[in-house]
Amino acid sequence: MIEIKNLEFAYTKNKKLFENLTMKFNPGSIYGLLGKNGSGKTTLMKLISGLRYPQAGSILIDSVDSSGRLPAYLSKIFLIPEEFDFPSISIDSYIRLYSPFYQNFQDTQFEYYLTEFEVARHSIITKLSLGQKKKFLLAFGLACNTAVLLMDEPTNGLDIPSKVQFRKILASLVDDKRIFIISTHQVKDIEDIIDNISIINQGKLRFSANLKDISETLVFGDNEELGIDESDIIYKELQLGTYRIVGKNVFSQNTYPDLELLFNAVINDSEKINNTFNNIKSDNYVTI
Amino acid sequence: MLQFNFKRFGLVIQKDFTENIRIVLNTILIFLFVELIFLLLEIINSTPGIIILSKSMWIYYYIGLFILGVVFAGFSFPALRKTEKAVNYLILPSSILEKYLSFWLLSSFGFLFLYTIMFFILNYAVVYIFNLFNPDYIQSYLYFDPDIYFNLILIYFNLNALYLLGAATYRKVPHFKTTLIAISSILGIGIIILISLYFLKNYAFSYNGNKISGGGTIVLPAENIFPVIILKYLVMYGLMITFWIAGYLKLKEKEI
Repeated sequence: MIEIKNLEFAYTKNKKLFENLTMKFNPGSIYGLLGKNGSGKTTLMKLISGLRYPQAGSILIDSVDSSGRLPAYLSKIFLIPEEFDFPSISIDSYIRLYSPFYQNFQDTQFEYYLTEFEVARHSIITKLSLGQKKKFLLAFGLACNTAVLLMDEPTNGLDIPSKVQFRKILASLVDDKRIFIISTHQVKDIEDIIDNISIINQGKLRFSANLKDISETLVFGDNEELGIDESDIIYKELQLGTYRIVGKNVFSQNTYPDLELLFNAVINDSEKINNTFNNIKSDNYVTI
Repeated sequence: MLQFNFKRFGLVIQKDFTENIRIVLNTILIFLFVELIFLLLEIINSTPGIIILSKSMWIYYYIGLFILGVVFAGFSFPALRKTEKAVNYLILPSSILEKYLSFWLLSSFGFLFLYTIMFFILNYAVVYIFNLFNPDYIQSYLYFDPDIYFNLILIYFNLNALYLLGAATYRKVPHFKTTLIAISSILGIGIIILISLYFLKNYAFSYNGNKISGGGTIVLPAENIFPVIILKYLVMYGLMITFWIAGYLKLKEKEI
C-alpha cells in the first residue's frame, strides 16, 4: 500500500504545489491519476518514486519511507516517465545490466511483451524510434513485476495497435498485490482499464473513488435520455448542441462513467460533487 | 542511512563500467595518439646515442593523467546531466553510497590504472620498435622517482576529488563551474593569507613558537616547521577526503 501523509512540496517558496496532501493507493487496483496541466501529477509521481523529497509529511510504500531513497524502497517501484533516455547499448545488454536489480524480473515475460509490441530484442536502444523506445520501456517496466508501477502518460507516442496491446497486457497483470498508477491526459486511452480515479487540483486531492462506486451513485450522459430532474443534476456542459450531465443516480440506471465529464465536474466544483457522492454513498449503505 | 551491499555494488560498477568504457577508451587513445606524434617528433629530431625519451615520457604521462583525470572526473554521473537519463539512474534500486562509490572507484583508481597501463604499453612498444630499427639510439624508459610520483599522484587525487564533487553538484558545464569556484576559492584564500601576512609582517616565528624580536623576516625554512608539515598533510589529504564526502552528500540530495 502507498500511504501519502500530509505531504507538502513546493518548487518556489511562495507557491506550494502540495499542501497537506493525504491519500492512499491500495494493491489490486489500477489508478487513473488525473489533473490539469501543472496540477502536480508528474511531481507526485516523482515524489512517490523518490526522485523528489517531500518538504513535509511522508510517503510510505509498505511502511518503507521514500525519503532515504533506499534500495528496499526503490526495488518496490518502477517509474515509466513521459520523457526518457537510454544508454547507447543493445536491449540484451540493458537487460543483462539492469534486470538483476529487480528480483522479480521475468525474462520470458519481457520477451513476450517485446513480441507483442513488435520490438526486436537485439536492437540498439538509442536507434529505436520514440514509440519503440516507449514500448521497450513498458515491456521492461511490466516485466520487473514491482509492487508499484508508476506510468506517466504511458500511451503517448504509442500507435493504435500498441495502445490496444498495452491495455490488454496491463489488464492481465492486475493481481491483489500490485498497484498501478497511470497519470494521463488521454483519459479515453485508459478509461476501460482503470478501476479507481484520483483527481488532484491546486495541491489537493479533490476526488478519489472506485469506478464501480461512481457508476452506482452517479449517472453520465445526455439528459434528454436520462431524464434526470434539474435538482439532481450536479454538473452539466454543452457538447455538440446537447447537454451532457453528471447527476445523481436516482433511478439506479447503469451508465458507464464518462471520466472527462467527471473530471470537468470535479474541477468546476469538487465540494459539490464530493458532498453529493458521499451523501448518496452513505444513503446506499443505510439502505443495504 | 548508509547502506552497502557488495553484490549490488558489483552490479552498479558493472553497469557504470559498461556504459562508459567506450568513451573513456576512445579519449585515452586519442590523447595517446597525440602524445605519440610528439614522441616521434622528438625521436626524429634527437641525436643518436643520447637518452631522450625517459623524462619526456613522464612529462607526457603526467600531463595526460591530470588533463584526462580532470575531464573524466567532471564527467562522472553522466546520467545526471540530462533529466530523462537521471530518472533511470536515480530510481535504480541501489543505495546512494553504492552509486557514488562506483564512480569514485572508476573515475579515480580505475582511470589511473587503465591510463597507466595503456600509456606504458604504447610507449614501450614504440621505443622497442624504434630501437630495433635504430640500434644507435639507446632508449631508456624507466627513470622512476617514487617521491615525485607519490606527490603528483596525491595532487591528481585531489583534483579528481574536486571535479567529482563538481560532477555531483552541477548539471550543466561542471568542469567550467568547478574550475571557476576553485580559482575563486584559491584567490580568496590567497588574499586572506596576504592580508594576514601584512598584519604579521613584523613578526617571525621559530620552532617553539617564541617570538623573535627585531626582525621582519621569517628566518627558518618553512618546510622544517612542524605546523607547516601538518598543514601540508591536512591540505593534501584533508581536502581530498572533504571533497569526496561532499560529493557523496551532493549526490544524496540530488533531485530531478
